[in-house]
Amino acid sequence: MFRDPPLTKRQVGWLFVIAGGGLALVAAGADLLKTGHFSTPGPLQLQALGVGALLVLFGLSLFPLGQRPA
Amino acid sequence: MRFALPEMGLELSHLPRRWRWLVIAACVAAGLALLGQFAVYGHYTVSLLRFPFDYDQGEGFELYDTVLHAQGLWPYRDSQVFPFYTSIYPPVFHLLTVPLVWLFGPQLWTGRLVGFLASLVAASAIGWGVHRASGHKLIAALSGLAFLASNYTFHIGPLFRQHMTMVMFETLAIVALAQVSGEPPGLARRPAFWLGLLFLLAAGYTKPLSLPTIIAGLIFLFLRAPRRAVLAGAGLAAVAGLIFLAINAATGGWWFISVVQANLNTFDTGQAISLYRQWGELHLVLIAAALARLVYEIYGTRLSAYAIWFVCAIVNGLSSAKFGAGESYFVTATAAVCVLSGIGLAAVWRRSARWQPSVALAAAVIIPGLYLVQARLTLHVYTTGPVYSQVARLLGVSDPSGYYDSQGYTQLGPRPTRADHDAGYEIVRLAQTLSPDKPVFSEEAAFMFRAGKPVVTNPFPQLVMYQAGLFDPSQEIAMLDAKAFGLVILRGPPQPEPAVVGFYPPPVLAAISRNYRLTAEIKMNRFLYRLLTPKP
Repeated sequence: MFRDPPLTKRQVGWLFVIAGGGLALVAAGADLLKTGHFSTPGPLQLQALGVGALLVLFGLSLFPLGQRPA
Repeated sequence: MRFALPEMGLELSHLPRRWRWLVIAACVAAGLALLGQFAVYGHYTVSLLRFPFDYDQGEGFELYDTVLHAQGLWPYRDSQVFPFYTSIYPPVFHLLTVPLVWLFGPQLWTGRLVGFLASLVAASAIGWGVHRASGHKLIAALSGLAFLASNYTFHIGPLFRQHMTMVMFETLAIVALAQVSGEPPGLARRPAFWLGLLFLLAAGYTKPLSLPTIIAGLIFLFLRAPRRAVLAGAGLAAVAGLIFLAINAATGGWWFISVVQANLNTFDTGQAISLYRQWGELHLVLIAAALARLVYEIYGTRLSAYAIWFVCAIVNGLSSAKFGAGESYFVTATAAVCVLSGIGLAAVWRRSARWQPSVALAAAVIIPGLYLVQARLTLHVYTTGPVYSQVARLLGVSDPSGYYDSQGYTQLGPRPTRADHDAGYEIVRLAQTLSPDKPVFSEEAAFMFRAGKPVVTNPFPQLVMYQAGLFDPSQEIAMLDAKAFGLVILRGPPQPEPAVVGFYPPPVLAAISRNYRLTAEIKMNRFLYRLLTPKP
């Protein structure tokens, strides 16, 4: 039997911060890759940035819950 | 009665004695309202079981899928050659219906009965899940009934469609997995764990739309026991992949083209927003209660499988932007909302026993009251005939059309009439007399079963495959140009429209228009069926 402890609220928070940050980075970096048809940030890009930011904020809100099981 | 109420979760001893009747009255009113809706559902189901023709376009083709399975044949084929048929749905629902087709022949009621029973099993699973999590029998029962009272469950439940069977497996899977805690003796020794995975697999092979539920189940396991969840996910993917490869090999690759590639349709964001709004308005009360429970579970306690399922199912609503999607894409979300809101409201009820008597009384009246309001939001009832006309008048929803639905105009819901039965048999008669020796090119298959004709074409898969560049209609068009079909049957709106409208790809409709002329128009189920014979 190997140890397989449940995830904590803080760990889940980190997962959301990483996922949201990654999404925001990809959205922000889309222009560098010259994808899309807009010279300025496109609507899909802005939506992805917004969703990424929300995921990061949600993840951060879980940090104070510490080691409680998720 | 004194003993029965606490057993149902209706512990009233903490409430002021002289006001307890108010709580009981609220509970009885909510129960009666939802049971009334269930009675309407039962009536609608019986009407559809007795109706031998397509009520929703495509039912007959799902029956044909079942017939092929019953004969040991796969329905995943090259639809570019005669008889131009393929299916875009996985086989589990059809396989469940196969024994009934063996026993009773190709009858639409077989799959409709399976769909209806699936909705009952899903509702029972919702109730059982709420009861296991809360111990509150009354709210458990109200939660299951609220699912059955949803307009979407009502419309889709008794159809020859695989959707409700998928929802049943999804619900069973999540309810089973919710019983797994992750603590010793560990996941692998718990029957609920294996049962949950089995139901997830069955849901996936009933309809791929269940993917978010599979993800929800695995996320839940990942939170409870991450290493074992990864192993479980890998095992599930391996089994599902092997089944996939086996069917693909057996069908010469047409399984992948028909079930995967043909289902990657164009997106219309406006359609999804409209469906989100409609679903939200119809289920407002339960959604609000489920959201409150979700927030509590995130910040106040552990996340349940139901909370994760709720989030995944709502996100999955985005897929309703797909061409051909509709309200059915929100039935899973409705099931998740019913179970999560039930657990939340039952928890509030239990906790209210520690509050001041007046506040506890308010909670005990408001909670069943919420189910009563929810029943009004999803109200759908027939408005003519004995009992119904009086009830409709009482509720202030009298409607000369014979059917009221809080959703507004819907194609599904009204019962088929005697005239609809007669119209269906008239189309069958014309199929036999106008095309005695040749196959009939029909947009609905049920007429063909009744007429003893072979099923030719499956229009919706043809259309989506044509849009995806997977269907070359040249051979079909060549047969239409050669007038190889003795009759064409198309279903269209009742308004005056060009005779040639339908689910077929535009070049096919153009070929029909070129070679066939309108011979008869017959109204059935509020649609106009146009029968076209070869031009001289």
